Amino acid sequence: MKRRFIARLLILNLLLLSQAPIVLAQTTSDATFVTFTFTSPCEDCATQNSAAGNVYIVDVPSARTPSLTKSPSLRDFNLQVTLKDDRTVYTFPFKSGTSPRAVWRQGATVLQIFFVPGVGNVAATTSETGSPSLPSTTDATSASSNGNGNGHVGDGSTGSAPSARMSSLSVTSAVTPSQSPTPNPTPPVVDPAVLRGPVGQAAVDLSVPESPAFTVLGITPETVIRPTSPRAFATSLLNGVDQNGNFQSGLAMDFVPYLLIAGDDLTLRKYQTSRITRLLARTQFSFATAKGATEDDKSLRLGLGLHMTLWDRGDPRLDQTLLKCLSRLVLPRIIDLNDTAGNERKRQEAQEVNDALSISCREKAKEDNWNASSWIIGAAPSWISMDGQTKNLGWNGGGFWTSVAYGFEGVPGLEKKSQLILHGRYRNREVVPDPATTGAFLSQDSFFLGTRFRTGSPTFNGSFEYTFLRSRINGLKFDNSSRLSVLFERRIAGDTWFNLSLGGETGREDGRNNGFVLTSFKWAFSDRQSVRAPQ
Amino acid sequence: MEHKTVTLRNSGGLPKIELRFGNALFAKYEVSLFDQNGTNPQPVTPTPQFNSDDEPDIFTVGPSVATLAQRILFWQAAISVFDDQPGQTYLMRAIITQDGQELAVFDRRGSITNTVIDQDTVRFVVE
Repeated sequence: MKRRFIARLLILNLLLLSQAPIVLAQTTSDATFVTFTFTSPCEDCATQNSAAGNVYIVDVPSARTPSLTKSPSLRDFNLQVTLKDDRTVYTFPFKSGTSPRAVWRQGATVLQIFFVPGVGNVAATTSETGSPSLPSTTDATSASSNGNGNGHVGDGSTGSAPSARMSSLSVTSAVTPSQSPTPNPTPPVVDPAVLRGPVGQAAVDLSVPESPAFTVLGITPETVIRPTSPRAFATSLLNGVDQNGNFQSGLAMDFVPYLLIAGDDLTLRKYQTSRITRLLARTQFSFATAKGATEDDKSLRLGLGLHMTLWDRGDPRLDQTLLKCLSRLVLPRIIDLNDTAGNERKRQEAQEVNDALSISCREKAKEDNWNASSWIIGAAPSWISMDGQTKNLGWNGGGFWTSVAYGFEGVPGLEKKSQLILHGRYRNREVVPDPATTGAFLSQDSFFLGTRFRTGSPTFNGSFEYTFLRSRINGLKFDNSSRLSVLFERRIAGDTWFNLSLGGETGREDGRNNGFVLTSFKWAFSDRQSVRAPQ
Repeated sequence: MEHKTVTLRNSGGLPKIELRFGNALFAKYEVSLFDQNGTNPQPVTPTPQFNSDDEPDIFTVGPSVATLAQRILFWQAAISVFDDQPGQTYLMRAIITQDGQELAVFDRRGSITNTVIDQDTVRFVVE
């Protein structure tokens, strides 16, 4: 029975693949890539497509120096290495017409950046029905990123490994579970290209941005100020204002007012026993300023963001299993206070043990709570001053986000391995790329609703996603569209998985409603399932 | 080794030490009483304590005030964060009281990434 099933899948896959023989040959024989090999899993590493265009960035902690290799087919590889605080930033350009794709392997110890031929080729492997789609402005890394182009390892949303014919076709990141509905820092602005681009290309981000002010301005600040005292907060603000009282551009700040004011008196017990305290302690503000897009543009944009966790059943401070795990922290045995050197050595040894234990406990808690129920909201108004003066700031639109996750707690068969997310967002005066004119931008209002259900087992994973977008480019009519997709992933044998995703769009004003059927095999290369198997 | 001092009234009751940890971080801690030479520690907290339980983090020090003269009170804590948020800080605050009157407050604070072990001492002076 099982053999018959596998045979059917193989035949189905071969039939579908036969529609794109050229792409197959290209991706298997001429793969162009760079490999970063680390000695241990690089949890803090990030990858990013530069906003400047055609430049790819790999950002790693300086303590983790990787060894680099490149494929023979990659010529004229121009790598720049920059030290920035405690980070090492590797920057390299890539040819236009290719899309870099980050793939983590071997437990996040190997990072490979594939330079995939143009989006059009990738799309050609899908079996599309309906009218052809526009080339998307979305870069291909979105399928393997955490939403803002940063492929942080271990955040639960990093792109999956490729199949032998490049995982760009499997789009498995679409169903990778994350810690909560808002696990990713600074998710991207919803670009209609993502929602309306070639279907199946990327999962839609259903999270609330951690720092809505950055999101509403469309920036990913290099340096974020996080003041930890009222004085530091005041100093940061004063430093961000010039002698004429105008905000300077490039200011980015994240802060929790309650912790600034009352953090010293916030004990763990107080947090655990007071709902109001929890709400206040998890209410975060963000603040950012940005200048105009060009040198000649004197405008100043300012955003203020609010991020509130209204309810979280996965709150680590309330997690008794985590608290029990942390209770194994060790204290050095001090018997002579005069032995300063010896006591310091004991302290350092104990702290090394504790660091490893704390990380391990928290990772385990994240795994256990990946689908915990929660409700998070975010909001961000923004203003613009065309001449850069603060007194001339005027309304420039804003955004509102909300995500509710349900983890089926107490429901036999679904608890620990299923999650349902409902997400809504409204954006006003959002600046989006003009699909008709490269380099031009349009102002858009949009309302977006999305829902995703995902579930997993050791041998079978599945997800269902529905999104609805109502948007209007200023001066034009409203456009309503919706997209439905289903993904199945089944282990056939060993590390070999068969992926099948299908879906379609309806209601688009431009008539480009796409349907798709997408299949792929994953084997050996893959370290991760799309949906976490139950523990 | 220099230690901060706290002056106790000989006619007063036994002093108490309360430990508080800010920013809702987890802490495992212990308090010991050393002799005047900084040796021979005697536990004030019989076993390591946690700030996550229902037990108050206040402890009475010493068998009698007179015997505390010049002795050194030592406390240490292993503190852990709960998440990977950048820019976290910790505060270990010790409050020493006698008969309900606050005699001294000692703060130790700093940045924390995963865990920190911090320690502090005070020498008792009895008048």
